[in-house]
Parts: sequence; structure tokens; C-alpha cells
Amino acid sequence: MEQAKISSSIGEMPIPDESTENPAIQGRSHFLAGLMFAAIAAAALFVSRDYTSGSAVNMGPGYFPRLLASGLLILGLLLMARSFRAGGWDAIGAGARPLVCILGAILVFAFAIEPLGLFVTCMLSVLVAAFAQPRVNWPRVTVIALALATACSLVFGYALSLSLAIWPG
Amino acid sequence: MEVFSSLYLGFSVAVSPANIGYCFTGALVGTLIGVLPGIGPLATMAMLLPLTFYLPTSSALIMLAGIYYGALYGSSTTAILMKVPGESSSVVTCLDGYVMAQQGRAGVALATAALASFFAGTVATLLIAVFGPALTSVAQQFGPAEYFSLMVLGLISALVFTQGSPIKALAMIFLGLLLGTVGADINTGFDRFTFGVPDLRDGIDFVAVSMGLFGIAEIIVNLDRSRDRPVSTLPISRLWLTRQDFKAAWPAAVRGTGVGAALGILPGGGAMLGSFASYAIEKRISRTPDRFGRGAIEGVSGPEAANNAGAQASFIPMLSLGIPSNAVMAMMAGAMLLHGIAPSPSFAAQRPDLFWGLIASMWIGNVMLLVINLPLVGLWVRLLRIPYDVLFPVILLCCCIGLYSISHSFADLMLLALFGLVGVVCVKLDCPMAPLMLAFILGPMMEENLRRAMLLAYGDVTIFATRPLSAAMLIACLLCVALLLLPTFRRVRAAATDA
Repeated sequence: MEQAKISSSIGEMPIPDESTENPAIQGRSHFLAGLMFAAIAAAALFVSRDYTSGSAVNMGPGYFPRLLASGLLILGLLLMARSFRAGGWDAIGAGARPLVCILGAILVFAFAIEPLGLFVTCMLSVLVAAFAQPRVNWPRVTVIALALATACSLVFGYALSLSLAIWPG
Repeated sequence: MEVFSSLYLGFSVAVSPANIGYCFTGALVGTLIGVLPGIGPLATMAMLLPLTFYLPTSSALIMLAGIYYGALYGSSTTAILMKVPGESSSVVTCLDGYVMAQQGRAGVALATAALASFFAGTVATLLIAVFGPALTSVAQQFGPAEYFSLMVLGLISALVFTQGSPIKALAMIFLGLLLGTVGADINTGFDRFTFGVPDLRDGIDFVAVSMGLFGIAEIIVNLDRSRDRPVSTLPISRLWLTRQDFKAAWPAAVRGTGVGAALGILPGGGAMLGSFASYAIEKRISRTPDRFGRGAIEGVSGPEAANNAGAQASFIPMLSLGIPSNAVMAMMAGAMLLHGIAPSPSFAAQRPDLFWGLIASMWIGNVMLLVINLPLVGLWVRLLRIPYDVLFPVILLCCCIGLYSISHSFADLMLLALFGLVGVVCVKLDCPMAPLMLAFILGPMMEENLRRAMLLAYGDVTIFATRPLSAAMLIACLLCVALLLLPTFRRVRAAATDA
């Protein structure tokens, strides 16, 4: 059985997180993680179905990836199997809002940077990202967006001259 | 004496005004960002990688190394003043450092941390200069089979030191290796997992992966947790040590340096492990163990020396064998690849200017950190008051613009969002990302060496067990696995990674 741990995979920084302090919840995280790994492995096996394997002596492009995908599939299934032993099925926690907003801001950046230039793109991204906060203080966000767009245009556009268009057109 | 002539070459590269400037900038920016709570060295390096893209190779590596030390230093500052470790290796510093600050000795704790780190950095730099080339000559005898086994060892030992379930960490390694296979096959040019996207033919962009996993995911998780950020910091007071402080602190710093460097060289090691080990040792050998946790100065100097020595010693396997041993070194290796230099044992022989320049700059970087940290500590403390609603859009934009500026690629930005998502899912599901990053960088090298080894051995798998060096490394792998299965060790590991 895995011990309850304060987790954090990010930057290896331990951040106290209620979801992992409770061993009961580990069951669910094991199951979902296992499912995710197994699904990715299955997809990889499916996509690589036509890649030539070759032989051990002369490996084709499909040999190593399929080897890895099979390993991942086994580990995923193993995790899922263990989750039933660990027990406990509580919510992992929602938090969809920051996820959607931040990823949305990146997508906005990706689609806008080419046609609209750096200044407008920065404004738009910051405005979209601002929705990630539970309460949005619009006057404050507008000021931040304007300030950051100006700063980014100056630093990245002029000072570092990264050959990015600053204005539309 | 060859070491000295080589070091001379190194200093002649590192002391050029431009490189000193980059070293300083790296250390400064690294500290600046490392001080900000919730942004560890990995996120800092990922965010600033594009900055180094346009620099000459030596300057880029020097600056990145500076960023890494800077981030390490910055996190000890917040550990002492606010009890908020910027990353795991300064968790231990909180124990006694914060108590010292509460007792009105914050300045002493900061100075102790800085001096201990400086001492450890100096010793570790010498160690790299001596052991780096020695290891390189061993590595010259490596064939593809040895390389493959060494990389397996590196990945397996990363399991030992990762938090949480080892099965999850192992699955993350497989996933990382699988992600590494995306792109045109090196031998046949056959497209694998590219889904017809031309940008993927060169493989998944490593900057997008590291920024997404460590930068973007971090913002999202922080916003989600909406943690209460402590705004109050303790006053700093006097920055100098008394003779008595000094006498208590230095033996611990020396021991910490030894422990940190020894553990840092190991594959999978790095800064964190050493600081925990050093704290445990100091407490064990102290005549007054009950002072620990109540502001013992040895509890600051030992671990701080250990984490800095470990951080620097972990450069040894990367520079001499070409094998990154942890996620931070994987990023350094990735940066080298971006500049068209494959990390390998012949690196030191082919580019002595780069190799020795980087080593010399490590020492210079340590001097600079001493200069940056002690007088400017008041400024860093003020940085902590930046509200998060200003900070997170800045990080977001820096990632987007930085990534886009590298190759003006729409696909890279999509990958950034995708890996941001992957990162958040991994945090939610308690899957460690550092092993994935390491495996992603090692993947292509592993496949190449596996294929070459099998070709040379006519497809006979026993080659890995019959060649002595390779067999030794595989036995070490088995020991790691055995260690993981041992109940006593599991408890120790849980306690160590738990703090």
C-alpha cells in the first residue's frame, strides 16, 4: 500500500494538498491514473499498428514505441487493479475554471498572434486568463492587461527585437 | 596539474565581459523568480529557456546554470523569512531557519545559508573539475550496450527518489519515453505519431513540454488552490555572524557539502536528498539534539551546503557521461541539444572551452549570488508582495511569447496548452512529472543505443548482462528495485519525501 503523502509533482515543491493526505482518496487517483496510462498506451498501439517492427537485430520504426506502449499498458492496468485494493472513491476536486481559462488564453494567443500582432494578442490573452480568478475586478484587470501588453511590446518587440509583429497587419 | 590549465581555459571563457554579464543576469533573474513562492527552479528554467536561445552556446549554458543556482538561493530566502520553501530542497531550511527568524536572527540565518552555499559551491566546482574528466575517460570505453544500461539505471534510480507511488512514477517514465519517440524515425525517416502535422516531424518541442508541464500547469494549480499567500515576512535585522555562530555553523557546512556532493553524483539524485540527509546527520551527532527545530544554526548551514553541493554535483553525470540525472539536468541537456550539441562523453574533449567555461562560471555564479543575495535581500522580500493576479498573467505571457519567438510555430503553442493540461491532470492524479521529463529527453538516446547494441549483438538480448560494465549497472538497477520493495526503506522514503 502506498503511504499517504504530501504531493506535488510541480517543480518538486511540496504543497499541502488535502486530496492526497487522505489515503482513501488514493484509490480513485490510482484508478484514474491507471485508466489514463492504459488509454494512452492503447491509442499508441492503435496508431502504430502499421509501423514495421522489424526484428531485434534490425529494429524497425515500430519496435521501440510498441515495446514502450505495451509496458505502459501493463502499468496502467496494474494501477487500476491496485486502486480497488486501496479503496475510497472521493472527488479529486473540480477546478475546471482555471484550467479552461488558462488553456483558453494560450489558444487565444496562438490564433491571434499572427493576424493581430503582439499588443492586441497580449491584451486578449490576459483578459481571457483573468476569468480564472473566482472574482474578477474588471477595472484592475484592464489596467493589468494594458500595462502588460505595453511592457511585452516594449521588451519583446523593441528591446529584444524578436521579429514579432506588434500591430495588426 | 592538467586540471589547473583546464580551469585556466575555463576562466578565460567565463570571465569575458559578456559571459560575466550573462552569468550575473542568470543568477539575478533566477533569484528574482525563485523567490516568488510557488515557482520552483524547473518552472523558472522552463520560462527563461527561450531567452537563452539567441545567445552563443557558452553564454546560454552559463546563463541557464546561473538561473538554476539563483532559483535555489531564492527559495532558501523565502524558506527562512516566510516558511515558504520555493522548492523541496529548502524544505529542511524552514525547520530551523524560520525559527531563527522568529527569534530575531533572520539576518544571521540568511548569511549562514548564503555562506554555507558558497562554500559548498566552491568545493563542488573543484570536484566537478577533478571527477568530470576522470569519469569521461571511463565513459570512453562505453559501447551502446553500456549506454543503454546506464540510462535504464538513471531512470530506475529516479524512481527511488520520487515522491508517491513508484508504479505511477514508472508509468510516467514509459509515457515520457513514448513521447520521445514522436517524430521521424532516425534510421528510416518513417513518421511516427505525427498525425500528419509537419511540426511534429522533428519530435515534440522540448521547450513546449517543459513550459507546459512546469510553468502553465503550475499557474493553473495555484489559481485552483487559491492558497493564502502569506504576506508578512519577518524582519531581517543584523546580517553578520558572531564568532560563536561561525564556530557552530562551519563543521556542519563541511559535512553537508560532503553528503550533498556524494548524493548529488548518483543518478536520480540532486539537491533535495542531500539536504534531508544532512539535517538527519547533524541532529544525530549533535550533543544537544533537542535544539534542532528551535533555531539551531547547524540545521541551516548543513542542509544549505548539502543542497548546493548536490545541485552542482548533479552536473557531473551530465557533463562527463552525457546522461542527465534529474529533471533539471534534463533541461540543461535539452538546452544543449537546442544549440546543436549532443551531450556525450566526448563533449569535454571536443568543446573544452564550453566544458571548462561552464565549470568556471559555476564558481563565478556562486560569488555573484553571495553579492546579489546579502545586500539585496530587502528587495527580494518586497517582491513577495506582488499580488498573484498580476504575477500569473506575466508568467503566462512570458511562456507564450517566449515559445512563439523560437520558431513562430502555431503547433508549438497548441502543444503548450496540451502539456499544460497534461501537467494539471498529473498533479490531480498525483503522478510525478520530473521522471516524465527525464525520460522524454533520454528516450531518443535510449532507442538509438538499444538499436545499435542489438544490431552489434545480432539480436542477442544477453549482451546487456554479459558485458561487465553493463551488467554492473543492471545489477545496480535491481538493487534499486529491491530497495523500493523493502518495507523499512519504504517507510524511510515516505518520511524523507514527506516533510
